[in-house]
Amino acid sequence: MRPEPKGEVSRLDIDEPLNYEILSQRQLIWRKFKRHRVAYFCWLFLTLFYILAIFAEFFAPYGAFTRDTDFLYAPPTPIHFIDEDGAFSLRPFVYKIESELDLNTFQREYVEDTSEKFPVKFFIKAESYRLLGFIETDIHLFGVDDGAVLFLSGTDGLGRDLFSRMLLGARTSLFVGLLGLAIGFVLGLVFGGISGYYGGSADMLIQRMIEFLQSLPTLPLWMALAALVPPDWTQIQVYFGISLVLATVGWTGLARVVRGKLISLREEDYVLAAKLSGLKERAIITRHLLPGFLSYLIVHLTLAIPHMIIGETALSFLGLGIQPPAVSLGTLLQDSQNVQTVTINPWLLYPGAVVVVIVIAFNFLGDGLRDAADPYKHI
Amino acid sequence: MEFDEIILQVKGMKKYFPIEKGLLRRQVGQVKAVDDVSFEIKRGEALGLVGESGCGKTTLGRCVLRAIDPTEGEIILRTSDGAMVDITALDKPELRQLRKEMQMVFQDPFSSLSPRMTVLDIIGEPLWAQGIRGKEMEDMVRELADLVGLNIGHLNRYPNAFSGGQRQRIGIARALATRPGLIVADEPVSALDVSIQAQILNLLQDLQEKLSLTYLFIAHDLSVVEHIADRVAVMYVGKIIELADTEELYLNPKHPYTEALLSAVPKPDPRLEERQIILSGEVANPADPPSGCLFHPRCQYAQDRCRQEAPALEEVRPGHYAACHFSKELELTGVAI
Amino acid sequence: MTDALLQVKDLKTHLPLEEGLLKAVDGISFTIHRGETMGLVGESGCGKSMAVNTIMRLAPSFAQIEGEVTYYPADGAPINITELDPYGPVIRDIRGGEIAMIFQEPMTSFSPLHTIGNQITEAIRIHRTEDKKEATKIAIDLLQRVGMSNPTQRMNEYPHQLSGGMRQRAMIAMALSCEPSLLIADEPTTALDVTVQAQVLQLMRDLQSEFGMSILYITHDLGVIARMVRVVAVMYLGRIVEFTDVDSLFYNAKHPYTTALIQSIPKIGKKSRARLESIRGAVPVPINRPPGCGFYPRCSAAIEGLCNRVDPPLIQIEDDHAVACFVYPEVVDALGEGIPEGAAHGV
Repeated sequence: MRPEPKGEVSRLDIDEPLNYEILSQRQLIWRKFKRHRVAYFCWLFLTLFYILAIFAEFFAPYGAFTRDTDFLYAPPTPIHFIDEDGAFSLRPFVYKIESELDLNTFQREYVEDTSEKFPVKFFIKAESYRLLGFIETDIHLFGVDDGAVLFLSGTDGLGRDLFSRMLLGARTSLFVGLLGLAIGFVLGLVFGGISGYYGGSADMLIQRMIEFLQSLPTLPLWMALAALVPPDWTQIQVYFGISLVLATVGWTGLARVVRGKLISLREEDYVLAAKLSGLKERAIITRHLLPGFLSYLIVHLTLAIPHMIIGETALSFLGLGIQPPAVSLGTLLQDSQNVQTVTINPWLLYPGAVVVVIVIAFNFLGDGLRDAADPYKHI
Repeated sequence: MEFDEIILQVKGMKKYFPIEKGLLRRQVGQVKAVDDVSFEIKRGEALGLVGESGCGKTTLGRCVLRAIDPTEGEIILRTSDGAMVDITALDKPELRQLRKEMQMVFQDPFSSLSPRMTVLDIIGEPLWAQGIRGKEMEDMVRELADLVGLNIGHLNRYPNAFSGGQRQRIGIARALATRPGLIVADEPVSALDVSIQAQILNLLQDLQEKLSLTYLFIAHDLSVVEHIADRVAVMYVGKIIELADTEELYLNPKHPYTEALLSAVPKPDPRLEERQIILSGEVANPADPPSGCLFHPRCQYAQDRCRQEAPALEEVRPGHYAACHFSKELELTGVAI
Repeated sequence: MTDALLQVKDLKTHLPLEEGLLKAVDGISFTIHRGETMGLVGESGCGKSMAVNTIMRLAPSFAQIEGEVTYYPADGAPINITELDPYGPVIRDIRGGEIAMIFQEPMTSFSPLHTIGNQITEAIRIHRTEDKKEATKIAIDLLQRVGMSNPTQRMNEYPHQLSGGMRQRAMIAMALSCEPSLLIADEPTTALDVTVQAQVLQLMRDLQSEFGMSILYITHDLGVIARMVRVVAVMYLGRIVEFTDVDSLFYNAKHPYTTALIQSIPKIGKKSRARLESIRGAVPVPINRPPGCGFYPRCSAAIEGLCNRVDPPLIQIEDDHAVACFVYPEVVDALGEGIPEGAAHGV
């Protein structure tokens, strides 16, 4: 009926049809990840946020340093859909804002002048800037015509639009995180790799060093290291300097992960098989060991980014990290150091809320990735 | 087949693992995983190595391939160009060169294949290591896959698309890639289903004849070993306690441990209501072995001499070695053929 | 034989997985009588463990379960286990009290945080006696009976302090502590060395004749089956393909899978280097399985157009011997009108 096993070697012969899907490991991870709703949502959110940060000048209605001296500590501009007469318009609009000095409290008061409507316009021409640093343009996503202002989250004491500054500041903070991470990644990989692959006294030494670094309180260590950054450095240099400071402290956890993973992978049969195949050590590491813990690395890195962001924010808040006039979420929060200012101008705390949201999103994302990274754990 | 040319000779091999304690890793003792083992394998022969878990058979197999370095002893391999090389004396680059002469088949068909590589790359890895790449490697892998009965149309799949038996075939194809003379097979069928075991055993036998391979076949299952091995060595707590031709050993065991081991195998025949030797106690702890003969606390024939004096592996009959003081006197029962 | 103890009727456990529907158990029926030893034999993935887990109501919560499992207590009305609340008191009383289980890896069944003695006495106090002293006495007696030296001292040891064989003995002692009517042993000796396996199997035989409980052995090892049981059910891909007593299983097997399986096992004491009969192919993954006999793709006696289209029912063709294979005319006849047109008739 069907051919008998033939040939000198016993054969499988039957090529059974597959009634189910075969997924590669990457597909499996992606599927599991997508099922983790919160993490997937955070992934989308962060992607959006990074896009906002990269093209910050386009999304921001004003420049980071554009001052409007008529509007110091102005509250967020109200946006309307329904005018005084109760007429609805699909296009949102703002009213012209007049500032008055309250002679009783000597505070500035901002009141709407409802006589004239200024519709919010999209792709409006305003201040010119360089997109991504080289594309000269003056188109902004939204804004209002001259005569009115649109401060989505108010202004600071110098009359600068906080929303625009937050976008630009987020760019600094988000990418300091990434840069610090990249440096910490290299450090962690090298030290963890030596520790895990060679073991012995090198392992001992590195582990003790990590324990020492981890036992130091983080903030004073950051402060001490940040103090080493020379005051005459340019903004870019300071930026790298701070990333380096964050990385010096942040690599230890990663080194531990790398070491642990290497030790367990070294024991895998397929790594032994590679060794017995006559592969050189470097080939074993790049072909088998690195891909073997790549997913764990990604998870760990994702969970490390928020630490970096918080680190930068904390340092800058204390005036030790990125210095004004450079903008980061930390320097923006410096304005809220004064409790009195905060009670009167609560919108100055908005950058803090942005930090919280980013950190939470990263944590959820890392969580989801961690669950997904082990695709064979199911059933 | 002619078995005159010795392809592997192991002389006085020992592997001791230190037991370390405390922060400074002070050595407080050692586990004698393999303790003074000597044997040889002739070309085209299959030597079975049996024993219970923890007896050192896997360590022995890994030492032979120098996957781990033995503490002491010589391992002499005859290479394909006829030279006799002591593997223990080689440095790393020399050893890498020699890897193509000897390969290993693993027990676990899941952990022995990288889940991130295609079957093509897995089988081709030893070739890749030899500098054979691209189309040339692909052609050779196709030939290998065909040799072990794999569908060559599936080579770009990942291992998770294959069943246990197919995965084991992939592992065998990889081991054969560089056409080695010696294959160390460490429990190659024990993780497989009964109906697949037979396929793989037959495949190993066919390949041996076709490519005149030499096997060191490590297993705990005596019935499996009997099928594939020409000679069998029985290990107990790091030592070879009996070594003989397969039929001789199964029919006329000369060591009480071998007798008990043979008797303990559950026979798939309900009409066979035989007397089973039930050993008391458990395998000795290799970190703290008993005095004298290692088997004496469980041996029903043990006498005072066994408690004091460790027996040496001696030739009882031509080609039949046993390490028991009373191997000549005892009338032990084997398995009827 | 004597009266029924546990009756399983058309039991199905279907698991909806991401990859498709996995029919782990697909309509199995059997009865275990009082004092009987039965074996459930099959390769990995045949559903034998899932069948037992379903009977004990330990299947995953997302499983779709159909069929009936009836337990007949010595006194009282029969209990339909499938209708019980899986977390309720009745099933908990049956589990451990009436039906006890031992597993392949005893380490997973003992808590590492409590001594062996504590865990056994606790089981006794839940199911048998309130009195602490008496429970301890029973526990020590049991440990003695399962062949553990120094039982009083063993009571104070933790599971990790025992060797594999000793742990399995302790596990058996715990399973027996409540004098169950049925003991389910899921691969009880697979993780053990041969010499220790022989000890444990001998012990279980002795205990069976002493306590007289029924035992259901789940194993892939035909050697264990030959030694330990009276009747055998052979499972393949979630179904029972043959059901008979142990002697006819080895000497008069009917199903092509059973015969091939028996031929393919290496038997000790055969001429060395003899070729083994092997079964072609591999056990298919039982996800989204097409209709027809599960063994069809590997079977050398398959009937085209019949075996690959209709599921063969399990039909008794001799005394105490049932088989699910269309090679036997009785099985084809049992289909009645259900024979598909164009199927090659007869053998």
